[in-house]
Amino acid sequence: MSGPDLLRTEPPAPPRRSLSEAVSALRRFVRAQPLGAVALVLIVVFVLAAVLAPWLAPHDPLEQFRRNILEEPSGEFPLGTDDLGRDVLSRTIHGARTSLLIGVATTGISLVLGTTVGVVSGYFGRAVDVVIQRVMDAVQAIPGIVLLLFIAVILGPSVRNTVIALTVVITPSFNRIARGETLRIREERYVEAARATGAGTPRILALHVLPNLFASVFTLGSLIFAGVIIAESALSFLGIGAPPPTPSWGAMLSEGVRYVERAPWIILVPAALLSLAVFSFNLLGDACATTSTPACSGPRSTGRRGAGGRGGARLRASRRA
Amino acid sequence: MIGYTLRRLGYGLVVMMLVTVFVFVVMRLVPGDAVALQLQETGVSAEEAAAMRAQFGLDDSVWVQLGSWLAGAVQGDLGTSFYTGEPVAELFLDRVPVTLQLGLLAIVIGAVLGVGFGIVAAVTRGTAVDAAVRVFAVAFLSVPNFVVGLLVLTFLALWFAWSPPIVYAGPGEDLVSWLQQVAIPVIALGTGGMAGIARMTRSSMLESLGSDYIRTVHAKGARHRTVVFKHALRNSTIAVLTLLGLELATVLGGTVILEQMFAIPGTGQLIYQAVLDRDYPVVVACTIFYAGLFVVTIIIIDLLYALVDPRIRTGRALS
Amino acid sequence: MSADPSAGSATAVAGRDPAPLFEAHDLVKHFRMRRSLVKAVDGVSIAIPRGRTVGLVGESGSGKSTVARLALRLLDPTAGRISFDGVDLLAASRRDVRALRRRMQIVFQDPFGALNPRMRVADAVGEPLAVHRMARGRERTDRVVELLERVGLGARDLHKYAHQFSGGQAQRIGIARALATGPELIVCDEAVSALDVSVQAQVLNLLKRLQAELGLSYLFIAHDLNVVRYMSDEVCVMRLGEIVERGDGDALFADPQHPYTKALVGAVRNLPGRRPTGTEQT
Repeated sequence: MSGPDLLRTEPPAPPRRSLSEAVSALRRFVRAQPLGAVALVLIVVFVLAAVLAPWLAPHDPLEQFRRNILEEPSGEFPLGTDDLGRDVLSRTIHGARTSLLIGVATTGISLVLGTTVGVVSGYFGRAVDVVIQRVMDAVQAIPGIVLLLFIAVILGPSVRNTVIALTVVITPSFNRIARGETLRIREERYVEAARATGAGTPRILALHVLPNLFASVFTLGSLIFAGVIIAESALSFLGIGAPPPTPSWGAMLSEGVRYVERAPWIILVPAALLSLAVFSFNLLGDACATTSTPACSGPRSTGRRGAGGRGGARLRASRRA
Repeated sequence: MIGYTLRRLGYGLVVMMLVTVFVFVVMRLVPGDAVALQLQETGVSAEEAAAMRAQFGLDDSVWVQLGSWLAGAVQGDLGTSFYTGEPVAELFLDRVPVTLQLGLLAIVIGAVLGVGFGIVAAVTRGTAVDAAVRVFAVAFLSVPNFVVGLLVLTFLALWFAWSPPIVYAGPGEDLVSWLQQVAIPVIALGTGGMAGIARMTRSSMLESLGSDYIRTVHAKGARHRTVVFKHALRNSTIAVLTLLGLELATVLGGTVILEQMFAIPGTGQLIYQAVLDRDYPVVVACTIFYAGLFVVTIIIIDLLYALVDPRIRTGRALS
Repeated sequence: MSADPSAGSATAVAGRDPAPLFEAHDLVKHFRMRRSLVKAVDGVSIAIPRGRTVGLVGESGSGKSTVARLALRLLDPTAGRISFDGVDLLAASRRDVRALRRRMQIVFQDPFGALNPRMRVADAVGEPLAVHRMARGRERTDRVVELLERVGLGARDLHKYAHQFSGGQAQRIGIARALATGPELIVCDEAVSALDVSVQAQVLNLLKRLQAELGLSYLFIAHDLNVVRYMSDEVCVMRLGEIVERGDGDALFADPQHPYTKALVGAVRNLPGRRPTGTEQT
């Protein structure tokens, strides 16, 4: 009886464990999904560039150097200048910032909203579920760009309105995933066990449902982020997104069309970076979806539950550009 | 099967009703004054703007607006364009086939290419070809469709001094010219879906090829090619159908930008122009049209599912 | 020995302690499916004395698991009465039911399914303590370690996740969790059915030891006759929602009365102590 007491001094400290666990999880992820790891690196670069934009960009993206119009890449302007004499490199870096800002805001808000709605709908079921889901279906029935245009014409172009419009468009995707997972989790034995212990609904939702959703939602989030970047650039390409002169890759694309012969870099640079950013988020989302890796899904599940194959495809298929 | 069809149709109707309500509720968010101001920006006088506002019923409640629109729609009257004064329905009728032709071709090309690549990847599984196809697929998924269109267009012009014809001619009138004009948009629209379909076909086929069912077929002595195409492919059909349904939304959305870029007079170009002109009746009609198109396609795909998989018809829970 | 499954006589068998800890009278549970009515439980009565084990044996579909859930009121019965320590479980308020949950717990069949894969062992076993606000912080951790040690695990397992354990160990964690609030009754719903045979014996012996140490009552549900017989003082045989025969374990198997029981017993080989009928060997 006293043996264990003697050995036991302090309960093992959790925080240090979490950190080392996270590191080893990351290492496992890199080994299992090399492409995903590459994507992660690219994304980190993208995020850093966006966050540090004011310090990274050699020039003010809005400043017009009237004497250096449509110049080729040079020492002073590493990626050349556009038709108003603005440094393409600076505009590109700040464009990353715009995309990131809108992407984070939109994905973040829709994730919270969509997950909440999906969990409520899936857990409480019946009438609530039917009503909510029909409404979501209706919103999803309208193709993304069309819905975006529709909202844009109502609200007018601005960064805030772009975020609102995009949020409306992508919330149903999070709702769908959250609801599907909630329906599954609701029937799991450990939820029944928690109820048998006397746990109330809030506790079950917070400690059992939400943590087990996290993996799928996060994976979807990555894919959605890619879609948001595309949608934002499409909107600014069409002239109804973030208003000029806000630097945005989409806007740069539309500006560059006219000068493609004289200054192809105005189109090429944003096109390349846009594709690269989207590519990275897609790769990351894929890497998470095709394995149940700890980096994305927490502790490795017992394999019965991997989010592979069909599940992953359903996740991928549920996003919309 | 009949019961299932009716249920799907009923569901579609409910969704469309909700879409219409949604559209009009959102419309309500436009403050009346803002409408007048916006119209004035596009050159309409103050009195005319007020008249249009009243005519469009923007001051009325959502239900009144909705009701009168529906009443008109059933009779074929989708409102009158603020901009041109023409009945919206007429503007529509000309453009719908254009967009449908474009969209259909894009989906078909995307599906064919996607399935083709998927088969190649599945059959050469594990080799560099397979890996290449998969990376290629994701890369293609990532370049937004309008960027693909833009790049191909501008660089064809740059390097080969070739641009597609600007004046639109339908496939019935001048097939060659039509093909030239839609070639790039079709590629742009189709390749986005191609990637997903390739991946789905690959994984479905790999599953099927490895399954006991196929091994039995092999054992019976069927030729390899027969095995691959007939059996494994059939089992992939459902998965591909799902993807096609979801690709549809992207393709429909893509038509908006690409029609504008390539001067194709379809509904995409219509809605874009209407947005710029603040032509609300047209925007409303277009939005509902696109939603309707989507819902109809989804129902068709669901019915195809039911044909392929009898379990769905009988309503037995699958999961 | 009574072989009559009708209501009143259930308590007659208990006999040893005057007031049973747990009683169920004429439990009925009907499930309405799309176009049919499934009578999962159709008039079941059980009495569990303090410190004793009542076994419930039957094939799949007999309704045993439904009875388990009804007993804990995880499902509401269509008809019938349930009382725990004299308290009418069905008439009790939500608050009272919640309080009663401290005193009756359940161990499930799937050791991994019953544990939240995202929860560490410490949190999983400590959850009942948190729910009933019985201990916090350091005190809770100490109590969890105590529970883990009681089932043969230890403090080093606190921060692990369920998947890091074997089936038998995971089931022990489930048992530790069930013990957390100091219950008097534990329902074992096929608690060893998913385990390897060698591990089954260990867990069964653990359960027996706990019963002796803590004075627990068990409602032990299984489909394996040997296991049920080993664990139970009284055995109820269930078929299609009804109890067809009940009695003292050894006696029941030695001389089954009901044809169904006879068939069940006949189908099992190693049943030591059974009088050979001429077709089977002991």
